[in-house]
Formats: sequence, structure tokens, C-alpha cells
Amino acid sequence: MNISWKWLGEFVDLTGITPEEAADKLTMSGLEVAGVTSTMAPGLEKVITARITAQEKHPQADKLSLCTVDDGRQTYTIVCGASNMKAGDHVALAPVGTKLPNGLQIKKSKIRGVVSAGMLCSAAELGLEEESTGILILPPDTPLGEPVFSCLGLDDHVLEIEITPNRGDCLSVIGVAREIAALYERRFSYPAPKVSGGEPPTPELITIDIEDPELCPRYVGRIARELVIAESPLWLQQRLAAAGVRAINNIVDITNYVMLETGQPLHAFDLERVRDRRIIVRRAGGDREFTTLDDVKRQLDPDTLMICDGQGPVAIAGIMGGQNSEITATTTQVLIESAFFQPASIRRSSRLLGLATEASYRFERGVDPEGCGLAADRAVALLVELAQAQPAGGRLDANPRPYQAPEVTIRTDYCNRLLGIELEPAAIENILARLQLQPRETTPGTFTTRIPGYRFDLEREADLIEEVARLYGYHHLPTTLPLIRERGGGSADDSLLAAVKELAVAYGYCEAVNYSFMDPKALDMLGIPAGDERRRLVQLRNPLNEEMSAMRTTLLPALLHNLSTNFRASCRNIRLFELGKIFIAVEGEKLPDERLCLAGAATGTRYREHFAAPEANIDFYDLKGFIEELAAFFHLDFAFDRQGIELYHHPGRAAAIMLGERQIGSLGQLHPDISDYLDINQEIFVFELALPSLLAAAGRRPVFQALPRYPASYRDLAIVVDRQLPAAELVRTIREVSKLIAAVEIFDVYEGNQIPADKKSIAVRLTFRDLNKTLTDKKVNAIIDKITRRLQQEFSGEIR
Amino acid sequence: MKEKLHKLLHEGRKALEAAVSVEEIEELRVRLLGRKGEITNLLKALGKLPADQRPVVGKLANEVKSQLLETLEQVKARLIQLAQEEELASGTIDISLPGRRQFYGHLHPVSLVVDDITTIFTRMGFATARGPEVELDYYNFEALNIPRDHPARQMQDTFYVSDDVVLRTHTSPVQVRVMEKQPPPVAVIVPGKVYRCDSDLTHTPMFHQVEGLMVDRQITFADLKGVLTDFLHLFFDPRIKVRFRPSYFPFTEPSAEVDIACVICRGRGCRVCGHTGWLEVLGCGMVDPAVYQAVGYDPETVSGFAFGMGVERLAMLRYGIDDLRLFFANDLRFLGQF
Repeated sequence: MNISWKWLGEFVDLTGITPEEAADKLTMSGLEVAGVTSTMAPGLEKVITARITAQEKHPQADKLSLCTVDDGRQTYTIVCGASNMKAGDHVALAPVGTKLPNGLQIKKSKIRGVVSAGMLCSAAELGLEEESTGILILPPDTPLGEPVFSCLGLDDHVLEIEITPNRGDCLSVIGVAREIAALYERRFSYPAPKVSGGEPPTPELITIDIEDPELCPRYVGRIARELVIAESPLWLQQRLAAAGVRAINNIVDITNYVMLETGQPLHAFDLERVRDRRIIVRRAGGDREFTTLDDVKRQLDPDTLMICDGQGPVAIAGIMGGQNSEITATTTQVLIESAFFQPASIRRSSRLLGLATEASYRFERGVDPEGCGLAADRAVALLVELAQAQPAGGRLDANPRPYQAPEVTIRTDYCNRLLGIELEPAAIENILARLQLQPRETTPGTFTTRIPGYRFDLEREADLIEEVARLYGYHHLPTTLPLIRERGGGSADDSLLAAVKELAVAYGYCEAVNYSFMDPKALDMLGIPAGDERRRLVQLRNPLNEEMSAMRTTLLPALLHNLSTNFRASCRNIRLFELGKIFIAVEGEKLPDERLCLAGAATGTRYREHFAAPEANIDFYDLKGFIEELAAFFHLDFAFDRQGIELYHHPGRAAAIMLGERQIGSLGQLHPDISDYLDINQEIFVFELALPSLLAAAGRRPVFQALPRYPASYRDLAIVVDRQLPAAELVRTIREVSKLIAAVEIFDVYEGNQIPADKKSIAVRLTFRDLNKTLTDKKVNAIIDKITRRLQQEFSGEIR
Repeated sequence: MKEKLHKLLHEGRKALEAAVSVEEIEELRVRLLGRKGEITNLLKALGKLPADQRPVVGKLANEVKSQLLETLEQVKARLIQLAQEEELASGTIDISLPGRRQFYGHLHPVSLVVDDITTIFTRMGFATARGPEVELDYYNFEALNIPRDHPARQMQDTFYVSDDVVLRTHTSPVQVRVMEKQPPPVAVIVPGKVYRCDSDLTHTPMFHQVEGLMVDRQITFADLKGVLTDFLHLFFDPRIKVRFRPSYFPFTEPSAEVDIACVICRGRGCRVCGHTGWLEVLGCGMVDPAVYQAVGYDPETVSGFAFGMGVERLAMLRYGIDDLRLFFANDLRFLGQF
């Protein structure tokens, strides 16, 4: 909220305080001041008051006049294009050298042959209104040669205050003034508005019935008649402008002005349009539609509180008035409504209607139920002053649920215990008193307070402790370190996950972080079949857009998108991984299964470009190597299976990742159709695996194996087998032959014209080791013979 | 005989010193000192000398032999060294050519900052905790003292899955889940993703927070100040100015926001800090009695504090990143910088 410094000064003595000092103090006590700005744009201090001593026609131009003006020290000749002034008028003179807010630089210039020594300014040129029809004419008693802004009292400052939702009381000038008074220990006063007399008595002109006192505990009405609608005076317009409110006419401006000043939203009805001269406050019930004064037809919820006349609704309570009762140019009598509505009800209605106004903003935070009468009086007093209105006698005050001030107690020892300080009871009492909470010491060190109607936020002891702390000053509270009695530290899973990320990084993958949202269409793009669990979507009711309308059930779409954007940015070697959750809806459960997954996408060369590096592209085995390393890291064995691959895979270059009997993920080359779709003319490889079962199965601590005491023997074998035979089967078969085979490593795979076309040659290096003695050649040869026979039997394998 | 030996010594040395290769030296060794070499030949004639001369000549012959041997070793060593130097010189490579580097990845700046924050707090004695990202309205709002029509709900634009299921708007629901599960003392931090229905230059619909909670007997606001001040000093700079000012969160009372002196302008005022000289980095406060009530703790016997911070904001300040959206674009030119 933007608040005028001078306006504050009407209710609290600001002598000796600069706006900047107060801003700092407010910030440090809970009303964050985001900025202090001067209402006077730089340069305007040069615009001075002057009087037109003579006015004549410009000799060369009918529409221009020559004014002689006097600033009390010297006279100027000014060429002026306006026609609303006459000799004797006081005006605003911008002498040569002034720079106006609109950027206009006043220079000595010849206009149609006559030299002008400056310019007479309009209100618009001074930034005081949006449009002006003539120059600004100042009051006749204005002193000469003074800066115009200070003469008009417009050299003000605006405090831009960010009000937290609990401090609805500070959405007003008096609220902030009260706060400053408490902080500086100065007196706050809000003079009772003077409305004298008035005929006839208000109850003769209108009746008020509150049918729903829960939602409307108080409704005050006052009437002003014979009023004259006009523009508001400049000072009032300026104050509204400083608060960011547009001036409309004196009636509307006054209701806004009083709202800004007191925090009490007011509504002005055209009394003549209030049918049957009755106000009834009730829920909408059967009334389904209502046209608000912004010309919008709105659908009503039956529980929305409405202000009605004898025939039907005339306003949505606390939110916006109706077109059928709004002030028009011909209005002469108004009913001023100053009510207290239940905050939760206004909040709910505002949310259902999708309509938030300055009024609803305040009502839903809570206005002062004790202040309704004062605000109505203040408005009528201003109507009398500025719209020549005749007040009706007294106010009509329907108050079925009078405000009962709650009493809240604070204990000095508890307060000190929570804050970690040693305040004396007297210090606490002093703070409470400054806040107008009327503390009474009921037992030594314990104070009972009376909470005024505007302080909705003070309900419990903790709330009072906060008041003590913030007025004492958070910066004055001590700084200590607690004894932490917990063991602390991250979980075992935390360190495993951190290590997984480091492993991916070591394999050249950069970590991506994508939104957890997904376009459901991405599943079609990947060919995820109907019935797959990844089709069990958690969908958002209010997504930002269709592309982000579901929670992701796979990490791949976003990674592929990242791949594509990087590729378009001319990056050819891309390796990205992400470690994050997927979300699978579970039937009968409110919350989905949130599953941590690791996924990656890679394309490009295997090695960084180097003058002496081999040229090779990433292939299936690069990814598989990473997955195998991951398994080794977890002290687990993965199996790889052609069954269980995805439609988005190249059918011949992909594998399911198996942990025991369970598939935990897959890896492989992306189907060329999808690479085309992504517009990437390189082979792309992807993997995705679920981490929970991995974390659960992880062998956490290696078990030490004694180093072998006897040397190993090594033999190489090349075996020609069917091209279709998986190498893993060959290796498994070899290993089954003898326990003395410690390792079987494939070091070459050959297909070509040295062997038949449907065959391949697999070369393996065998390591033989006996833990208890040195192996003899004879023994090793015997095993080799056995292997040879076995391979011959099982695969018709021939040793080359 | 003596002359012959002197001559042999003289000429042998000359020959050795003139040698240019190790092979030549070897030939000379055979010729001069070998079993059929010149010295041996001369010594064979020793027996023909008169007996009284034999010891003198014999001694001389041995001296000649050892002097030649010494020279030979010296020359040989020199030649070996020269040969090696030559070989090394011919193997010189251009050390200005680039090294052969592996592709090495990078962790996301969010991960790096979360790790740093976590490390600082776990060293203090905090444990880590996690919770669901799709969360019950109850945990996200109700149990945190934010009933359905509370104005504070407006502070957080919420993604809804159903009437009572939301995407968590903060990591605070984990506070409640942790306290429901264990009695005091509690000291946890909760890193995680959170979601708000908002997307523009300075807001993304998903971002990261780290939540903290400590509850025990006799935990004070002064302790809160101490823990967070220490954290900010460790995370940013031990000399950085820190200030606590009152604020409002429905689940803490008293509540505070924590500012640090602007890391860009050092408190003088700039665009980044909105010319205030201060940057808001943390929200915190003493746990509200309503939250204790929701989890069945007794506020008369325990007290504690909670705090929360935005990870991206801290990362932006730490690394000088000026565009929030870069965090989720996953551009390698961005990721490669961390």
C-alpha cells in the first residue's frame, strides 16, 4: 500500500522524523517499506508561483497571448497558448532552465517573433493530472516566487509499504500512523469528524435489516442529500493519486479517501435508486445473477452475502456495488454504507466470483468493527465540505453482534523463555500500552490485555509475544547457539544418491533439472502402450497449459526435449541425466506413488575432439557400461534382456535392465523415427531406471576378499559360433565348466569373410586360479579340453 | 717392456678418448684389456724378464691396466649419457598442443547449492528428511494453520490435483509429517521441489526449497538467530551483515524474514536489491502453537523454530545468475559452467 507522509502527519506528530528514518523503523518492526519516493519529480522545485500582471494578444497569432508575469522579484514576458487565465491570476511559472516531468526542457525561445522567458504550466505538465484543458490557476492568496509544490502542500513523500496478510489494520493511513505512534512513543489521535445537525433523522429515510448477523455483524448507514457532484479538489486527487487510486468525482473520491484513511471500505448507493427505501443484508439464495457496476453479469453462489433493497440485490456485500444503484451524474442523495462483514465469507465469495477489489481485499483481512460509525461520519463530513451536501440526522447503526473485545494474557517468564531474553515485566507492559492493548497486571508478571477491533491477528499469547519482540526489536534480541541433541547427518540413501550423480558426472553426463510436469501426448510420442502404468496420470486441475497438465510418469520426454534444444543450439555431443521423481496414480489412494528415477540421454562422439583421439560415436555398449558400473557401485548384478524393451527403442539395440526377476528399467538406442521427430540426425541413446528397488537391494558395505597367494594362468580362446548366439551365454557356459576359471573376458568379436557368413568368432581371455596352489599346465589344458567339448556340444562352437 | 707399457697406456687412452660409440668402446676393451688383448699379451712376456724386474713391471702393468679401465669407464659413461640425451632430444613433443580430456559432466547448480546447505546443517547436527511432492491439503495448509479461507492462501498460488490434494507449495508440510512420526527433540532439514501456479520472468512453476525445523525443550528465538546467522556466514561470507525483521507466516509466531547485505553492491543500493542495500534470503520463526496442536506436542514444555529458503535465489546470488529460467532450460552452455 502506498501512503502519503503528510497524511500520516495528520494523526501522529512526525516532527523530527524523516520519511526515510520512519521507513527503516517500520521495516524493522514488520511493515516492510519497499521504497520512499518524493511526489515532486526532480526539476519541479524550479517551478515557482507568479502573478499575471498584464495580458494582451500576441501580435502575430490570434490563439496566443502575451502575459507579463511577476514572481515578486522580476517580471517575465511569456507567450501562452491557453485561454483560461486573466490578468491578476496566480499561476505556475516554469522559467528558462526548468525540466518538466514530461521531459520538456524550457529554453529561451522565439514564438512567432516574440521571445518567451518561460512557460505557464498546466496541472498535467506538472504531473498533477493526466489531462488538463488550460493552465493551472492557483488560489489568489498564493505567495509569489515560491516553489509551486510546497505552496500547494504537494511536496510530499510516498511510502510503499508491503502489508502482510495478518496486518489488515495497516491497510490504512491511521493504521500506519498508529504503528508509528507506538514505535516512536508518540500520541496518535483521530479527531472525531464533525457532522452537526441534520434533518430529517436517518431512520425516517431508510430501514436496515440484517438477516444474517453471522456474515454481517454490523451495518452502519448515513445519508447525505442535495449534494453536488463535481471534481474533487486537487489536494484530494493528489492523495488518491499517491495511493494509486484514480479520481472520478467527489462522491466516489470521498468514499475512496475515507477507505484509504480509515481502512473501512465504504459504498455509496444512490438513495433514490434504493427501492422501497430498505436495505436487507442476506445471502443470495435464489438470486442467481447480478450485474456489478463494472457492467459484468455475474453468477452468484447461494451463500454469497448480498446487500438488497426492497426488491432485490443492489450490491455484492464487501466486494462490489451493483449497476442498478450506482452513483450517476444526476445523483443528489446517497446512502453511505459502512459495514463489517465476516472475513472468511468475503474471501470465499471473492474467490468464487474471481473478483478482488480494494474493498474485498480489506474485508477479507478484517476491518475494525468498532470503526464503522467513525468512517461513515468522516465520509458525510467530507460530503458536506466538498459536495455541499445536507446530512440527514444521525446514523442508522444495525449492530446485532456488538464487538466483544477478547482478552489475551501474556506471561513474562514464558515470553522471555521463548525469546531467549530477560525482560522486566515493566518493559513488557510498556510495549503493550504503546500498542493500545490496555495491559492489566493480573498476577505478578502476567498481563491481561484488551484487543481492539482492528487487531484481528492478536488471539493468543504467542501473538502478544511477537508484538513484544518486534517492538523491542529483533535486532536487539541476543544470538545464541542451541545444543542439538539429535544425531543428525544425511541418510544412507542420501549418500548413495549423491554417489550415483557423481558416477553419471564421471561418465560425462551433465545434470538436468526439469519441471515435474508432462504433456500427456508425450506418452503417445514414445509409444507407451495403453494399460502401461505410465498411463496412470496425476492430472492437474489448473495447469499452466496443456503441455504441463500432468505429473510426469517418465523422465525421458523432458530429457529428449533438452537434447533437441541443445542440438538446435549447435551442440553435437550431448550427455544429460536427471535424477528425480515420477508420479504414478494409485487406484483408491489419494496420493500417487512417487518413485525416484534415474534417466539419461546421450548422442555424439565417445571422446572429446582431440587431434590424437580415435573417432567413434557413442553406442549401446557405452550406455551399458555405465549401467554395469552402476550395478557394481551398488554391489549388485544386473541382467540384460531383449524382452521388455520399449516401442521407442531401436528393436535390435535395446535391453531391459533386470535385477533378479524384476525389470527395473531399460536402455538402448532411440528408434530412428523418434530421432527424426526430434530433428536430430545422430543416433541417440537413452536409459531410465527406477531407484527404489536398487536402493533397497544395495549391498552397502564391501566384504574384503584375501589377495590370491598363488599366480594365475591365462589362456586366450577364439570360438566360432552362430551369429545369433548371445555372447553372455557363451561366457556363462564356459564359467560353468570349472570353479578354477576366475574370469572370462571377451576381447574381440569378429564377423567377416574369414569365417562363414552366419557365424561369428568370439575371442575370450580366460583366467585360471586355484586359491590353494599353483596351477599346472596339465590341469589348465584339461579344463580347456573340457571347455572345447562343452562348446562343441552346446553351440557347435569351433575353436579357431 | 716398460716403454711398451707406457706406450700402450698412452695410445690406449688416446684411442678410448677418440671413441664415438659404446660399440667402439667395447671393441677397445677387447683389444686392450681382453683375454687376448694387448695387456695380456704383454703380461705373457713377463715371465721372460729377469726375476728382479718382474715385480716392478708387473706392478706397472697392473697400473696401466687399471688406468685404462678407468678411462674406459669414464668415456663409456659419457657416451651413454650423450646417446641418451640425443635420444631424448629426438623424442621432444609439442607441449603446447591440447591435452586429451575425458567428457566430464557437471552437477546442476541447484544440486550444488542444496548439497552445500545440507552439509552446513548436517554438520551442526540436523538430520535430513523428505516428503511427498503431491501432498494432502491437510499437510500443506490445514495442519500449518492455514485454513481454507485464510488470506495467506493467496500468497501461494496452488496447483490442485483434487479438492484435498495439491502440489506442495512449500517444503513446510514435511515439518508436520516429521513431528507426527517422532517425539521431540527434532532437528531436520528438508530439501525438495515445490510448486506454485505462477510463471513469468521471476517465477517458475517449480522451484526448490530447503526447510528446517528444530524443536526441543528451551529452544529460543535467540537460538534461531544464532543458527541462521551461522548458516549465512558459512554459506556466503563470514563477514556478511545479517538482519532479522518481523514478518508473517501462518505457521510461525513470532515470524521473521532474514536479509543479508546485498552481495552485489555490498549494501550501497543497486538494481538487484531494489536500492535497499538488503536482500531477503530466508523466512523463519518460532513454531506456531497451532502446529504443535496438530501434531500433539505440548507448547508449554517444548519450543522450537522453523525456517525456509529458496534454493534458486541463493544460487543466483552465489553465482551471479541473472535469469531464473536458465535453471530449467538445461542448456549445456549453462550447466557446463558449474
